[in-house]
Amino acid sequence: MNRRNFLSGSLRGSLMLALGGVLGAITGRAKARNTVWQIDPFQCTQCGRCATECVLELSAVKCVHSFDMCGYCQLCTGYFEPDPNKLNTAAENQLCPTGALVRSFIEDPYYEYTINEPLCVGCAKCVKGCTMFGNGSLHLQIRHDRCVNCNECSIARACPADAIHRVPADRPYQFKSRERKS
Amino acid sequence: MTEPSPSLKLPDRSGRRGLMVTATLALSVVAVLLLVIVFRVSNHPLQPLVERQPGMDRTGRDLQAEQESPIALGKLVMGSGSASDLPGDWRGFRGPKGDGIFSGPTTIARKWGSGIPATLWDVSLGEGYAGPAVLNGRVYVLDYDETKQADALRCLSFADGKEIWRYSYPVKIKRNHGMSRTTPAVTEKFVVSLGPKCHVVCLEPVSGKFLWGLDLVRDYEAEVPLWYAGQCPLIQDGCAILAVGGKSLMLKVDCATGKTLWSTPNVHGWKMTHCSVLPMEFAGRKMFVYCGSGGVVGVSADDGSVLWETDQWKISIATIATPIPVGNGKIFLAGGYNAGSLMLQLKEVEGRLVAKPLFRLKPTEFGATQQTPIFYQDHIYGVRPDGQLACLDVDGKVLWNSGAGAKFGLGPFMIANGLIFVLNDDGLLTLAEASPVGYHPITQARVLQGHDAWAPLALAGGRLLARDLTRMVCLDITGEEK
Repeated sequence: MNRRNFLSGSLRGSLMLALGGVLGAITGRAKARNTVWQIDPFQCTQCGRCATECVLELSAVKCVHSFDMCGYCQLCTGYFEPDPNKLNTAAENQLCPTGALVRSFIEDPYYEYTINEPLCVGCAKCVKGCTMFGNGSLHLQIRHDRCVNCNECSIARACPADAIHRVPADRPYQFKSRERKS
Repeated sequence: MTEPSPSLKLPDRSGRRGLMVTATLALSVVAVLLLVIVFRVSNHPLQPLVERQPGMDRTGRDLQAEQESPIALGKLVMGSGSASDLPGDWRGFRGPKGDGIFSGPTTIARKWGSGIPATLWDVSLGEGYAGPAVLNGRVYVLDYDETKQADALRCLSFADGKEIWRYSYPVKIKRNHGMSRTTPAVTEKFVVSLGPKCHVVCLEPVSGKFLWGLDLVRDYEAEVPLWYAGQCPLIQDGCAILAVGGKSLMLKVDCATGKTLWSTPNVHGWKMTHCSVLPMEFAGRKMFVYCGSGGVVGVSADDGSVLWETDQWKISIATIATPIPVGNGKIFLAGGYNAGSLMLQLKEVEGRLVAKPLFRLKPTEFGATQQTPIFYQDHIYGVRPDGQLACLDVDGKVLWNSGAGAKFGLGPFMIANGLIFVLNDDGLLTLAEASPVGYHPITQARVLQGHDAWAPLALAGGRLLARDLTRMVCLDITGEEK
């Protein structure tokens, strides 16, 4: 191979590589634009890493509540510590470290549980209690008003259950429901 | 005049310049920090600090309060059914011996399908998990009538399910994971039921005539357990044994007169759980064993005195499974909600009985969220919290489990003539060998179409009674032509 052939071959190779890179980047961006990250609540093991692995200081992962699955129980295992002193709203009885899970009396014997999102850090303590001993109505979801849709989600990388995947952007949530229980 | 000390000397020109630079840098750093704080506060507004105090849920009136006892308002209504002459009995929770085991001449079909097991009759019930009792061709079930807002102790014909009579008294109960959930106890002379809000009635089992009643909340300051009472009453030697909480830990009531023969003081203030009372005998002493909210107690059957107690077994959310005796003074306790299992050993020390833990099992090894395990031929069978049927020996060694592909949820099970009947949440009935060798399913069939098929099973005269949330079926499990 003479020098001219070597240089022209190298140039062609470089151009092909550059073209491939540009096409790949465009495809990747298009894919990223059309998909978002989401947690499959049935794969989630409530490990707690969503609270700490997100690139945002306050995680984009929040607890959400499927009310149609909730038992509205007086003793909610997602709300109360495993061995509460009393079934009331005193801080020492609550599982949530930030008081983000709010309990409201409806009528005897029903209570409603809602999430104060600005306080929720996505630690999944309530989700674990609800899933282990209750109906499993509390679960985690990535909130897209906060998520910055990184190319590579740092929580997905750390998730031990591989529960975080890209989903179509026009169906960005995977909520639990009475119909979708598994 | 003295020379100024070196430390008070003014710096020279280069020193002053250095000071100026340092001060400028410090001021710059402070300014940057202030800017960062202002930026962060404006972008992440701080939540106002709110103390979390009791009462923030605005709980309304006393959850336990009832205006007056409704038992006096009870009514007997006769139906069109009549008692059958079918043989067999299942006299209450866990059958004739209270162990969940049936033994008798009944043949059990081992190959199902083509109408086996056949559904002989079915009956609609109010939402709940209350199991049936059977005696003298009659089926007794404590139902809740949502239309009339009343507990209803119903007596049905074992032949066709038609109602013979019902005794009902008004109680307002809202759906809270079902409503009814206890099995009546029946003898030749008495039938005793305990309702969701702790109302006890004793009736004459043939005619349905009211004999006596108790309102455990009003009379004994009992607290209705969360999700309503699950304790199935016990009749021993013509007396009802009831675990109460409140002013009395346990009661013995003469079924003929309604007179309280003894009452165990509730010195620790234990509350009623969903557990039922176990009668047993150890070291020549007859006793009743009960798991209250604060531990386990053995009460003398003679006078109601406390023979022994331990705080080694308590489940904060709900204690449901009843203790089971496994011989030689050992009592096996299994629970849900992360409790696992505990084997207690009774011993006589200087004339007194004491209970010591022998071993504990993790919930992943063995436990019982809702259904009481069965002790059969020196082995313990039960459905673990993960839904798998499992078998262990009395030393706590798990011999087998049914595997991830054979889960039964919170469904009931019983053993009959060496075979296990186990129902899953959705009404799929499985027949398996009751053997320590391994899980060997034999056959299965869907016998209920609804969900939450959690009521304890009853078997008498070759007929199996099972129910889901709203419907009870009577199945012919013999496979014989009638």
